[in-house]
Amino acid sequence: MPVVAVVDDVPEILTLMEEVLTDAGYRVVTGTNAGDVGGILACQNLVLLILDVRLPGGVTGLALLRAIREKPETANLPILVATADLTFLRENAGALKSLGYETLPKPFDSDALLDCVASLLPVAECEEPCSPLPPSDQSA
Amino acid sequence: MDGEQREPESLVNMRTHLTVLTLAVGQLRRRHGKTDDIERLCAFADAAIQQLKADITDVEAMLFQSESREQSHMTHLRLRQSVTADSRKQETGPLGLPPDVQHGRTS
Repeated sequence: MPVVAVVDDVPEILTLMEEVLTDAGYRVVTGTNAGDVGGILACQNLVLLILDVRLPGGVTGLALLRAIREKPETANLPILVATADLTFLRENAGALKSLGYETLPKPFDSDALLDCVASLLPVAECEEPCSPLPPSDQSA
Repeated sequence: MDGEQREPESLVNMRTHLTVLTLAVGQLRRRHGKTDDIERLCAFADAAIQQLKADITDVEAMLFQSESREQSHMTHLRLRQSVTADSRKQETGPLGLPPDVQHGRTS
């Protein structure tokens, strides 16, 4: 099953993004720091990486993004940079574009997240129709 | 390029906390939104989220204005320093000596 990876150092964001994506039919793996990225990139069936750029524990920011692209096996992996550092996005817009990164500035809602993810994945990557789960029936 | 400028930590944190709130309300509504009470409380949270977004935009505008003012002040200072240095040069001549000394007109 195709895997979407999320790396963010804020546990609440990580949990919520995992919930939103899982509810939409994706299989999700998570990491909390820059050191986790290497292991995640080696993950089988990885089809998308959603990455914060301000991470503890190692190379971060543009250096991390460049390092990912330098690896032949991840040179073409779709990557979504989700960050609250809008200055970073603004000042590195050219570099991010040339490296082929998409961006999702915080704050974002679940619809924006799902739209972004869907736009980065070929239709076949999502096994189930990628629509949100219906709300649970409270009367049951 | 790697000398990345950083935004004020508090502003980045505000956006992060707002993301948590937005995603949490979204999940609450997606999973349990049929209950009237939950919908009513989510509506309060939605209103607060919109207000916080507007507040953040205001803070960003204030920061931008303050940075622009600082830049304009620095440009003005540099201009003044350069004018002062030029006028000193004129007073002293290119070699740093008074013009009459420079041109051998000492008496």
